[in-house]
Amino acid sequence: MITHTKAVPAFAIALALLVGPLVLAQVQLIPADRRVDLLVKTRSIEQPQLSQYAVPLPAGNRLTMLPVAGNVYMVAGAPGNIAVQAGEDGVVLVNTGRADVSEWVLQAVQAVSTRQINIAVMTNPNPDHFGGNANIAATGRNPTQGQQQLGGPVRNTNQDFDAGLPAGGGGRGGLQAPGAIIFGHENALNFMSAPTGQASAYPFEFWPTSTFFTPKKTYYWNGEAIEMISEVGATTDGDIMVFFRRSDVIAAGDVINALGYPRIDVERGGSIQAELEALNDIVELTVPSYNQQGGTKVIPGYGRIYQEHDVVMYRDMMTIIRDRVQLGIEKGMTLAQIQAQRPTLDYDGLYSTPEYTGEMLVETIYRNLTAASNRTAAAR
Amino acid sequence: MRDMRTSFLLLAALLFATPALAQVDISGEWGRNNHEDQPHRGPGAELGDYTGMPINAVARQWAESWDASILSQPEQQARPHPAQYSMRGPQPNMRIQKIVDPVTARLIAYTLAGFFGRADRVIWMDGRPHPSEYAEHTWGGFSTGEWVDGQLVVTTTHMKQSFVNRNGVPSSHKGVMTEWFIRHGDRITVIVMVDDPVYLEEPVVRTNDFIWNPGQNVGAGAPFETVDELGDKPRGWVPHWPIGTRHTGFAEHWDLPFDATRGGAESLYPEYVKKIQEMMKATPPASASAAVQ
Repeated sequence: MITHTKAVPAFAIALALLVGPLVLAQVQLIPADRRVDLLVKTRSIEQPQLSQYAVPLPAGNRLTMLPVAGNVYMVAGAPGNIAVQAGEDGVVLVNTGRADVSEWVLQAVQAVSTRQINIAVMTNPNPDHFGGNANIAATGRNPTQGQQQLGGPVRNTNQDFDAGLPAGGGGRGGLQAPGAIIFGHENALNFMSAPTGQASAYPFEFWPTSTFFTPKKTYYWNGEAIEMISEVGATTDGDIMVFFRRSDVIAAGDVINALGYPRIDVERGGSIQAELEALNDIVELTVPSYNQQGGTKVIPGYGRIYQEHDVVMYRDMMTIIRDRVQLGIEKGMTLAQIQAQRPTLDYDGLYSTPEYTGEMLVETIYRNLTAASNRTAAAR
Repeated sequence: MRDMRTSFLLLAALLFATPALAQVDISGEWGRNNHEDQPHRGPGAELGDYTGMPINAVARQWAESWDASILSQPEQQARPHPAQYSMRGPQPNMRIQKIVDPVTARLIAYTLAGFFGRADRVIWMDGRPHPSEYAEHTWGGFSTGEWVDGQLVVTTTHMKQSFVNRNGVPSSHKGVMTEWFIRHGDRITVIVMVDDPVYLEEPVVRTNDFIWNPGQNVGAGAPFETVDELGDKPRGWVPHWPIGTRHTGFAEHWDLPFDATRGGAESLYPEYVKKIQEMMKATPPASASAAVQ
């Protein structure tokens, strides 16, 4: 028989077991002076969100760092976004920001981890995203490079690399640059480099050091699977997005720009159809935790953190604008006539910027769709 | 000495009484007035009804393009109502709870539950700033409150892009909402003002009244299940009406000139009645046209 005196401690233990993991996970990311907020958490669904607790950065650092979910943080204002996954193994970055803010980016990483940066992933060859590759990768260490051979002191520092000391474990050498490994799509490397004897668009230090051309590349780091998913042809022919499976965070790169329309670069292999496919891929991957709230988080190339609903609104917008332009083409309207209809009017207040207006987006889609239909006609 | 003591006590009473008088306890169970703006408590505003809404041409294009079939998308089926609308729509029997620091007894926040789809809200009362522009947006948004002349004034940012009426009239993620919670005995009036720089010519202002209902006990809410309603529709299907669509059904049903149903800031004011009368002279309503024919 369970007596009252036994039932009370039993209930308390059961409650601690049930609520403990949730509370402990939150405590890590909620600042100490805000721990009373956990009381709010017990009475509200999906409130408060972790991203409201900015990570304090040193004075003078003008970037913003927010916890996103699990092991993943977002550094914003670099001027693009950088995803930071930190754990026992080290640090993974998705994009490195512009070169002139590298020092601030490194300060931000150090605010959440004392480990080395091991991996940087380039979502696409946009200088706002890869400009820090040289500065930041140089401070890290490539996890695929072997340890010092047995029989001597274990040394894995950059000084070893710089001194040309051997590493072992499968051998180092080849064309690997010292520092963190930089993953990227092969087309990104093709864009940044050049055939032997020709001048490349960007110096070697900025290039991805490990590329792929398959639909997906995976790596396991900091206790979670990391999927690099090809979205070739969305904004360029070198787009990928990164899915941190346990943390449940997607770094979408420029497939989503929360501050503007996506800059589809048709000259470099981007297309409206591939952009929509990429957005639909993200919608399929995201799962809200409760009535279209919370759950999978999405870090866009620029701007605020998205949840599934925000991605859906972005996808719907791009689909509707595409359909409006397509309908105009089918009616035999010219670009000017379609633009005069203002197919982006209801979205311009949200996403049109002086650098890339709604009118420019319409022109991009128009030229992309008419070129595609011309190609189809020629093929017939 | 006694006079001094009395004066001191009076002074102390005045000093400490001010906050107590300025703050009113709003926690508890509050039932909605179902007859207030009744259509919103059930089906919502009719398609094409923008009367009394200070919307601009941008919002009108969005609303005319909006197709209710979009709610069949799996990722739209489980949408709660956003903070910009939740006080007005169905189901806002509210539970307001006080969150007090267990050590200092300082008021940290009020939590609000009971809105459609369980889009819970938190009103932070501890003076914290609103989060970074890069923080995520939620259905409930991020709210802070302060007491002003016995009224709780709440400012909300970080709301999701959604709607202010369920017939497609949009709200953007750039909007800011200000609310006044005013308690009169066993009633609370909540004045809601949504200021949206993208879709409104001037703020939407609506009032909502609730009655204290201690036996109510707002339920826990439930996660909505999404099901397949699309059949053979292709991936990424987004239904919408083409540019130039005119939803005339509302005007025809109520025998109004179509232009009188288009909303806009001027339609909020009494002088607009004269304009409607002029419209009716210039263009007879649908039924009159039918009678002439």
